[in-house]
Amino acid sequence: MNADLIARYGRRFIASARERLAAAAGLAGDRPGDAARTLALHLHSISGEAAMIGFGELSELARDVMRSARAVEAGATPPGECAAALARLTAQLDALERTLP
Amino acid sequence: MTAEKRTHRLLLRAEVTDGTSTTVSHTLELSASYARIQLDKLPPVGARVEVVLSFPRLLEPVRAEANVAAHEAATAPGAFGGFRAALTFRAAGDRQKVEALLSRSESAASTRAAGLRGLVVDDSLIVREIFSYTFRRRTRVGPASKIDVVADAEQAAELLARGQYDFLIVDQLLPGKSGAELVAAVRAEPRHAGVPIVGMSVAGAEARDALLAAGADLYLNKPMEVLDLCTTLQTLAVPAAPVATRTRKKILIVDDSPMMLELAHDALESAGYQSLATSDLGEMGRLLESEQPDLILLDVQMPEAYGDDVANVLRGLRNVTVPVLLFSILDEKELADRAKAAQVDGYIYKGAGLTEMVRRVKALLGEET
Repeated sequence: MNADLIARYGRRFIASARERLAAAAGLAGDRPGDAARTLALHLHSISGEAAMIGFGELSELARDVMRSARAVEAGATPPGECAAALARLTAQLDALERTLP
Repeated sequence: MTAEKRTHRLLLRAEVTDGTSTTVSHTLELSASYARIQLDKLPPVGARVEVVLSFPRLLEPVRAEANVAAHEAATAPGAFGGFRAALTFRAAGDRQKVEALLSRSESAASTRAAGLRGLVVDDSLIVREIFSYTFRRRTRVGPASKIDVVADAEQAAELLARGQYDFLIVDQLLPGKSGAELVAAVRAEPRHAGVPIVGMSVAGAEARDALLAAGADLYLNKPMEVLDLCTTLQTLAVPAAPVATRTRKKILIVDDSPMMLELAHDALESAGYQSLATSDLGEMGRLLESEQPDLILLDVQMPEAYGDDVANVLRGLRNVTVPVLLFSILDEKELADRAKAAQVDGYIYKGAGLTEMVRRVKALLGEET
């Protein structure tokens, strides 16, 4: 990890990721496919930003959740599975935040 | 003595960001690797802050990381304290700009400056006399240099309507219109565009905020370093020598994530490139025309379009011939397939990190070490 990048961007990244993940609320609505599409785009951005800052594990997890969101969008899995994956991502964000300077 | 080693007493604008907020203050001393900065809210010793230094007609904004080495107590009642910091400039060109300014300052100290004209607006006769005396007697200005001194904004407006000045020094608390109102009026007048304006007051942060918000470039809290201010302004009369810089290659980055743009921008600028970053495809088109970048990085999944489709437009309709790379967190296999289908020059996997991104850019531009 690059300590300089983490010090500079870490907290902004966490705040931005949480804002993006608010899109997950739509999964419980009447058009979960549309919500999943939006969420997948956000997860894509989260994954990219995390990778560039140096949060590799989080980047990978965001990608996994993105795949889950894509599956919801395609109607292949129920929204509940994506929500469970999201919970893991949120927990990792919380854990990461506690380590930041 | 080199500019690196000599410390110069220069009062330049310093925007200090500690991660949560930005405060505008000024340098007291500067070298190419060190600064003393006056500030009312001091970051803790050991903290790293970002500092943007600038002064109109002397120094275009340069960014540096500053490691806070020590605090300094205020030297007089009502004055702000300060801190000493080691500077690390984030772009090689920025360090060169500072070195060029230091050389210019040295020339100012040894050369009689001709034709420098300033306007001081302060209702205190003593303050006006101090400026006039210091500027004339303690700096090396030639007989054609002149300081006009007036007591209020109305008199200042009359002089400004008739002539041009190289700098303005404006007190905040004036009879009638305030200094901030005068500064705002000057900034609204195109013929005075870019003239350096130094605001000053005894009223601390409140006056500082009013003057800076009105458009002053620098704010000094009285009691202040009058001689340092005069020598800083004297440097305006020394022509800027061309900075010996190699032509920086331009990299255009298009990505919908502002943070990603900032990360890539900083990494490329630190590597010596000029980064042009945008999340807007219309802006991308304008940058292509006006800046003619040497290489283009395109995010793949953007709300407005896919990067590979954008690449097709660049190649087919805009006749772009410089290297174009896809830049994404997509799986490398998919990214490689998309890059091949779009007939671009390759791809950069975001998961490989910023160092790899810079290495790939260098390689494509034939600059790999």
